[in-house]
Amino acid sequence: MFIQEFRSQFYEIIKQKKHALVLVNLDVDAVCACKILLYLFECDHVKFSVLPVSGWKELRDTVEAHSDQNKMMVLINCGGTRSLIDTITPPDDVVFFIIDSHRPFDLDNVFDDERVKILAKREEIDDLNCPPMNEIYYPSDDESEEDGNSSDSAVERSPTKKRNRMADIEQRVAKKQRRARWNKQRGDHLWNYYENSWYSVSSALCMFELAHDLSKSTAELLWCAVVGVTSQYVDGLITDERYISTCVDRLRVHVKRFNHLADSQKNLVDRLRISFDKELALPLYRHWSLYSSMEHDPSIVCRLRLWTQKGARDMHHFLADLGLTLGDCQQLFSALSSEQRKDVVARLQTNSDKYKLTSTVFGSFIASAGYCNSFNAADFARALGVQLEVACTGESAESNFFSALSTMSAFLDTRQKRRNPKLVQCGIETCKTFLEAVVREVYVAINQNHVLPTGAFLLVYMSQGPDLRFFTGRHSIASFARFLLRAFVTASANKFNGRPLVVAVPLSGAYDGWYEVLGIMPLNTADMDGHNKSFIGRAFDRVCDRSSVRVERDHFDSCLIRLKAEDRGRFFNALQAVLETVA
Amino acid sequence: MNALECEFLAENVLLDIVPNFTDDVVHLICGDVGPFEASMVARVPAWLALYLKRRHKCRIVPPDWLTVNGIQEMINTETTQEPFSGVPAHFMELAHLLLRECSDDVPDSDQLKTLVHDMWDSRVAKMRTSTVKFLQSGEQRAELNNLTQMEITYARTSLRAATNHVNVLQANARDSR
Repeated sequence: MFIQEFRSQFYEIIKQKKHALVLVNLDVDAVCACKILLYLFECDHVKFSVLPVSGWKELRDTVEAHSDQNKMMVLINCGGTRSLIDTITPPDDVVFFIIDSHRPFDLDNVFDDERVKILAKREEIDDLNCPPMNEIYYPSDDESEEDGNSSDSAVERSPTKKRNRMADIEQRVAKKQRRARWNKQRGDHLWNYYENSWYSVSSALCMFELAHDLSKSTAELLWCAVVGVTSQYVDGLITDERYISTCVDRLRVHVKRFNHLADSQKNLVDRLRISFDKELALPLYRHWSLYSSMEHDPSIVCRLRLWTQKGARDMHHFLADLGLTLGDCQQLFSALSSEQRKDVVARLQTNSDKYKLTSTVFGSFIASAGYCNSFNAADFARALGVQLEVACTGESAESNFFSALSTMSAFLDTRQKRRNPKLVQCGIETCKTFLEAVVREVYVAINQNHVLPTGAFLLVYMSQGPDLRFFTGRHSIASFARFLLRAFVTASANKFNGRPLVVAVPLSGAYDGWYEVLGIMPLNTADMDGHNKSFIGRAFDRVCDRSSVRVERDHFDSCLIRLKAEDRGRFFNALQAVLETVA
Repeated sequence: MNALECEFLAENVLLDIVPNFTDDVVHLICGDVGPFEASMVARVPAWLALYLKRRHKCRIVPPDWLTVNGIQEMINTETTQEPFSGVPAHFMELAHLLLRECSDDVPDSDQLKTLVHDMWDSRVAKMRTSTVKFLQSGEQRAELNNLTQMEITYARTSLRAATNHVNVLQANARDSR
């Protein structure tokens, strides 16, 4: 069932029950939404427990383990895309509240009125185009009526028996035809509804708007929402237009309000100031040197083909053309004087068109607090994302989740005003090593021709090596995949422009002998609605239904699955067949 | 007694708040507070005011003396006169609490922080000089007016240790005679 009044139908109910179990998916948007929700719970003395879940199996186990004590469960960024009641089989008195940015929602969840409640606003419900309920579930009233009619007619055993029987048979045939037509229509509806999967508005933003309704919003919560939205943009889950429209429509109002408050009181020092400005799209450039940042930026790498030997020289020419000295570029950005910084940024902005560099600048949020360095929302989102997924030796996903949550809390801690950006800076350092690993793997894949164009799609196996420890989760593998697809399309002179890319990463440890497989859509495919719709998840599902490969479809994102190594040949052949019919 | 305890004791001072909720009288051990009416000023102990503030349920009205001009005047009287000047009760603790927890309700909180610290510095300097003078003079009693709990706490340990030492030395001197 859809809930549109977040405050009265969700928050007040949980406040009355005074206890909630919050289950959170392992992505940055969910971590931010969780932080906002926990802040609201702390303000109102609602007891809560937080647990991260990484897949459907873990969700089921956690719900089973905790369902006798917790009757109210809040699922953040998980659980919306499959029928919750069927997959998890919870006990009858547990109520689930789902705040999920994955779409489309499973129709069983949408039409379950008692136990599953999905938080979504009017515009999103309209966007979803759910088929009406009576076209999916066979209306049982009709059937009982018809049975009643036929039994009534059977009772009347009169001279008109023969005529009645003819009418009876005709009725039954007509009913069967109607049923067949209804089934076909239902099949069409389901096909159209489930065909694509995409991401919609960030859960962190929904939670922030709830906080605003409760008049408990602060600049810190706004920053959480901002990081959530930016993480969707950085991961390529939403299109540019949708990001800009979200920023302008929904976030600008709040940013202005908090800045106005801060300005009117001239409290610049300790308060968190969030500003929206044009920023360079180079990753982590504020915490790195411009040169390194450009070396790891997909658009510049692909434009200048830095994987070739000529590439490095081209880079120097490019910088000379821009009028930037090599010394300036290779120095730490924070070590440059402020005039130099502004000069560099201005040059890159003005010359981006000349070099056909798409998206050198984008509107982004910057947080500055106290006298420490200011942080860009995109860098923050990247740092958190890497912290969530790059497992340090011996640490589990759960501890990664809690360390990411504490990084966010430490940065925003307002109570003792001991705002500690150290954890964020550690995260940024890890992100730098991650980006270096990504670039290395991309270069290896391109130079050694690891990308195999197999008909309808491009396939690449990642090779074993020390860099493999970075690529364990959706964010990391997807960053690699997007980078590689862009580089490969440029390297092969746009021959393979319209093909999706499938990446297979060998796993180790508990899943030795399995591959983590992720598929991404071809470049520049945005739907007319402005969503990045992907049919890869559906294609994987169909392959698994048709052939008997050993696959674990455990992740909440349907584009990511686990495949047994021996079955990979059959899987990819079947995928080829499925994608050919689509394309 | 240390600074944290002084702060705890200071939280008993009554402050004005503007709540954003409506509620009946609340019966507490220290007395009754309320009834609360949204946007109407209520007078509550400071600890309750901070508790409500943290839960975004009220806005704290800073006391009259916590303004730039007010504190500037206090600093002027302090630096021009030799004896301690009269200050509001629990001045330092309250100023500290309010500037830390509700800096959005207090106008010019940055400037106020430096001014309050200046005030503290001048009073503590006076404390130090008078302590030294007292110990050098060898008197048995001294009387100081207008001290607050914080300054007493600040001086207590060192003054106690110093006078003990002086006593021991004087006793030794007497015994040796």
